[in-house]
Amino acid sequence: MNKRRVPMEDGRRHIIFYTFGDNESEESNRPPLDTETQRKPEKSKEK
Amino acid sequence: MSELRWHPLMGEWVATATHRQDRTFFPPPDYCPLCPTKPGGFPTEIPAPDYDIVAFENKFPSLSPNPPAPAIEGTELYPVKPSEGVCEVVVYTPEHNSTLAEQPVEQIYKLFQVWRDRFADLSANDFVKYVFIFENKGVEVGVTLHHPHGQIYAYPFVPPRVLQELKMCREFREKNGKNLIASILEEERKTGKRIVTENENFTALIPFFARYPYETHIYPNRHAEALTDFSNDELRDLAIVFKQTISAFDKLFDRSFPYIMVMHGRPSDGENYDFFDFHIEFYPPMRTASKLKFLAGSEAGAGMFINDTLPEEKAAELRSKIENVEWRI
Repeated sequence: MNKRRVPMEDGRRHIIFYTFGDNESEESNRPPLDTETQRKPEKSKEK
Repeated sequence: MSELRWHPLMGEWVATATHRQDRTFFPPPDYCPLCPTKPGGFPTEIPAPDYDIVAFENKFPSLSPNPPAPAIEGTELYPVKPSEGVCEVVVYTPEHNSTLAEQPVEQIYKLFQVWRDRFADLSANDFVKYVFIFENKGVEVGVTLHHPHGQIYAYPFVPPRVLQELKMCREFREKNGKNLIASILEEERKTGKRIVTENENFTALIPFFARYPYETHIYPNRHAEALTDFSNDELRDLAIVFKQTISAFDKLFDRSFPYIMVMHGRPSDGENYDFFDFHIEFYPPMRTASKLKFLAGSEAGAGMFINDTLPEEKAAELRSKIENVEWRI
């Protein structure tokens, strides 16, 4: 899964286009990482 | 004008969002804001001639990342605060005349990956305490755009329905040493008569305590608190059970079946919720082919639901409509 962020013209932050490859079975069997932004990790749990 | 007003009787926030009165209302098909923008055509919300799945901030949000200051000053009895949060729209397909149930299971699997990604993205915002993924389907539940889509609200607090579930799950765990959702699943499996469909990783059922005739829940077969806890293989299994369920809904009365679909996962506040399990709930408003279940006096005014049907009978009915789902890839 890939995603592309495009700024919106009316003040909203962006629109995100998600695309998927044909060979998904070869993808990592883990939640995807955002490769286009320096996304903060989901807040860590305090056990 | 948009703000959060405290409801002192209920102990919960109410959002005012007067701009939503002007939101798009049943546009003609040629002017659907969720369709691709065709060359030379009407500029929709999506500036591309085609797409697979897209997500963007709602043009008429009740919560926004940079909210205006409240239009009214709060008091000690009536606190107000800015309506901070995020409201997103997720468009499932460029096909205007379709529904999620009509989409192939591969597309639903892609959608679950998008939902998982949106949960992770939105949860990372400091001001977000709960990410709520849902779909309103059908005019019977107030839908004003027919194009297949769902919504995500990222709240600055944990909403009351979820708070109540968390309270019950926490208390059950403290008393019994095991999780409530897992125990419900265990109880339902004793007879299986309310189970609708299942596979290795997920189970769909109309629970013993269903409040709507076709209220269906999907539970994971293992402990998991949020979409981000699932592997891609597990999301494939979730897509299958989800597709089987909503396709069976459509077969009940041979029509596109309206519903409210909600996902309940752990809050995004960094606290420990290992007593809670992610699950999906469907609230279909139909009780027969021609009659709707309304939230009337007892439900709206007292909070006690009256279900005119037996979950065991409705589960058998829905189970009879379940069909195998085949992967094409």
